[in-house]
Amino acid sequence: MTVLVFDPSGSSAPQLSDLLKQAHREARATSDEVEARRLAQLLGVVVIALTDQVSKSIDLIRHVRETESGSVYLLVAAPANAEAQVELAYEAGCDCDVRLPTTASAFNARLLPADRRQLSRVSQTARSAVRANGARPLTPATPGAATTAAMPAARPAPSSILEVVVRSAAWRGMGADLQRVASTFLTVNCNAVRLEGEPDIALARGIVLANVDQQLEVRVALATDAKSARTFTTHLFGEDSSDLEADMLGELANMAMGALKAAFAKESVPFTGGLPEALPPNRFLQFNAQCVHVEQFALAVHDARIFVRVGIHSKRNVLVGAPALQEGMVLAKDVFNAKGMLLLTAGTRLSATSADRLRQALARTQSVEVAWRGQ
Amino acid sequence: MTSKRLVFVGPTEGHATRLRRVLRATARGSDEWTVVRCSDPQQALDELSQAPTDVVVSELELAGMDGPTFLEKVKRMNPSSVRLAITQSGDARQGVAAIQSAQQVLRPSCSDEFLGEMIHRTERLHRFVGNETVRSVVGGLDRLPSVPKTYWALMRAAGRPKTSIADLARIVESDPAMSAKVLHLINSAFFGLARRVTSIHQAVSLLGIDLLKGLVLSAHVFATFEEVKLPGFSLDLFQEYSIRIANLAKRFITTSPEREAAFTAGLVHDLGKLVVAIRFPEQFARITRRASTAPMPYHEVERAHIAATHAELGGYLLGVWGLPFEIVEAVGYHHEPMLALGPNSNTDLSILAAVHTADSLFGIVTCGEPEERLDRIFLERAGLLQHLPEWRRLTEEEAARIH
Repeated sequence: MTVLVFDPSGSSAPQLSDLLKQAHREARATSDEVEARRLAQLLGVVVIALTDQVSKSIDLIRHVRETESGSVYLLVAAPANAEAQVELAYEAGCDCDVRLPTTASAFNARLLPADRRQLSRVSQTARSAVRANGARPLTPATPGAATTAAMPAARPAPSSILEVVVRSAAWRGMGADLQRVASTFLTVNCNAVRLEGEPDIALARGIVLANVDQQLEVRVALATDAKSARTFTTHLFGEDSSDLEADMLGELANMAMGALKAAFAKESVPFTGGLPEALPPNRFLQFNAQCVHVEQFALAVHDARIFVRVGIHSKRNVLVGAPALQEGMVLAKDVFNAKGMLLLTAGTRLSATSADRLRQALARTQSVEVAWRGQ
Repeated sequence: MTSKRLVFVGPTEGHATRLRRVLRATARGSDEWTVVRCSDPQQALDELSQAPTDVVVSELELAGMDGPTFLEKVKRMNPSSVRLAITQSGDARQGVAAIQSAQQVLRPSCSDEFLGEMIHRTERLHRFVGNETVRSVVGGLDRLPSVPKTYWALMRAAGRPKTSIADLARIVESDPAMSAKVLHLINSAFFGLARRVTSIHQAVSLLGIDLLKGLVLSAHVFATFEEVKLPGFSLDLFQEYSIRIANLAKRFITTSPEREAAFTAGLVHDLGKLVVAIRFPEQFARITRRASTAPMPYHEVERAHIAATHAELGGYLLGVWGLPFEIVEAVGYHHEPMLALGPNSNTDLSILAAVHTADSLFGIVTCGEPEERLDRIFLERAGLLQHLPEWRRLTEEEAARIH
């Protein structure tokens, strides 16, 4: 979540930005009132310095409160002896105050209500997007088809940011986005088709997008068979070698990551992207093993294929008592019995049999860490 | 008919005569014993080099060489021979020195029945844990885990009459890594102490030397293996589990020094699993996976894969280290306790029973293992079945503790 820092005099902005950085938040500072008014609505969280030119700070607070419904979080940062100024800020409508100097953790604690409020804003945005675009889930065979299907009846509201992302237009439009990216990069029209059977993987690349604030991770895996790798590489570079094939797939992974980042950013759920990593062929499917939602399809040009898997999971784990383990849960950590013997590894999705076995093999008082499914 | 040979070394002719009488009276039907008497150690060593010998019994006061030194030589020359010592005097130092080199130290005042039972019992265990497969498994280790020097230093010091708590603490503290590990074990949540122990001196005062020896041994074992990668295995959880079994086994017994011995045996009862893990890493992973799904007990899965069990391996290693017989026996037989019983067993098997029961009940209560893992017939034969309800209650109490 990016936080706007408004400091009319500019003297406190570096200190406040530094505190935000220590609290693992991005900061955007401005001393211009007009820009501050615009950005306040957009970013939703504003830290307002009450050090110098206090009247401009109070004016900003009043303006924001008069022009929006109260979803923008306003935190004032004031020196320890600025009681009168802080009083004015509360009268104008600020949410909270923090006294300087302070620590990053104390500062962060003051911003936690902002996180909750931001989550609510994202949910509202996504719900609006869902209503506007229809509720049909991604179908790899027809990614470009018109999305005019009626919304399924009685679908519950998303209960978590993960569900918000999965229901978003960005997620559901992944196939079309990646088809477009691949066609542009490979300079040939690609069709998105269903991924059937176990592909024969010769080359694979993985790339991870992360939203640190919400502890979300989107894992993108691209793979191809030997013949398809040769076909695409020769087409692109005019020659073929294992290095060029790796470059082709790595660059495509990069571009896929960029497209998804841009799409999610439009939904106000920003992700940062990593670098593509080489995957041993047998890890193509395992790369998304911990993900609770996975979409998979292939990008096809005649009989040449790029196999795509995109999965999302929350990095928040929950502790589940052994008796409550159920089919479908994904283990977040290795599970050992009371004698120190490994029973199942992290990333295992429990089947009915393995869940039952685990319940039998663990003490009733033992807890297991499972990947949070937003439920 | 199985021919067996016993070599007796010592100046007292009466001991050799008694041994012949006892073995004739107590031998199994198919065994025929020959007892050879040697008056001095060199003659005995010559005898040992000429023919296979099942048992060597030595007095501790010998001409030309003391008993412990002689028995050490026998251990190196003839590792397959059982080594027993007979001590005349009340010299504790001699007794302690003998413990390290002999598998049993016997007093001439014991009854013929006891003497016979201990010879057969020791020989039986020696054959069980020292079988060819076990010896080749342990022999195949790149580096045999070293003898626990600090443990033996404590043993020797404890045998001296004027040893103080400070002296004992100094022995452990001379090895800072060992001290840190011992304190870590003591302060573990599973050890169950109400207060934090911050020095070895405090540990000796609080726990006593016998429990401390057990902890030193355990710390040595885990230090030996902690550098090794053990896939499919959590050494930390394994260590916690060992402490819990040790605590349980100690609580099952009410008399000293048996309860301290049970504690030590509990701490190291599954040491053999670490040997399997480093000697056969791939099979170890397979055994672990298979044991978690198969209806067979863990040790039977091991036997199917590597023709040996962790109990045998652990017992053998502890025997090589010279640990007391009762501890070696408890570790070696903890999955198959009936093997410890001879046809006329009437000696105390409480330490083995405590470790077997603690390990079995803990697995039943916390890991869903079947009730059959606990050998009730053995407990009945050992005269301990009446304690089972209380032992079960203690196990459930232990299992419900911190997790």
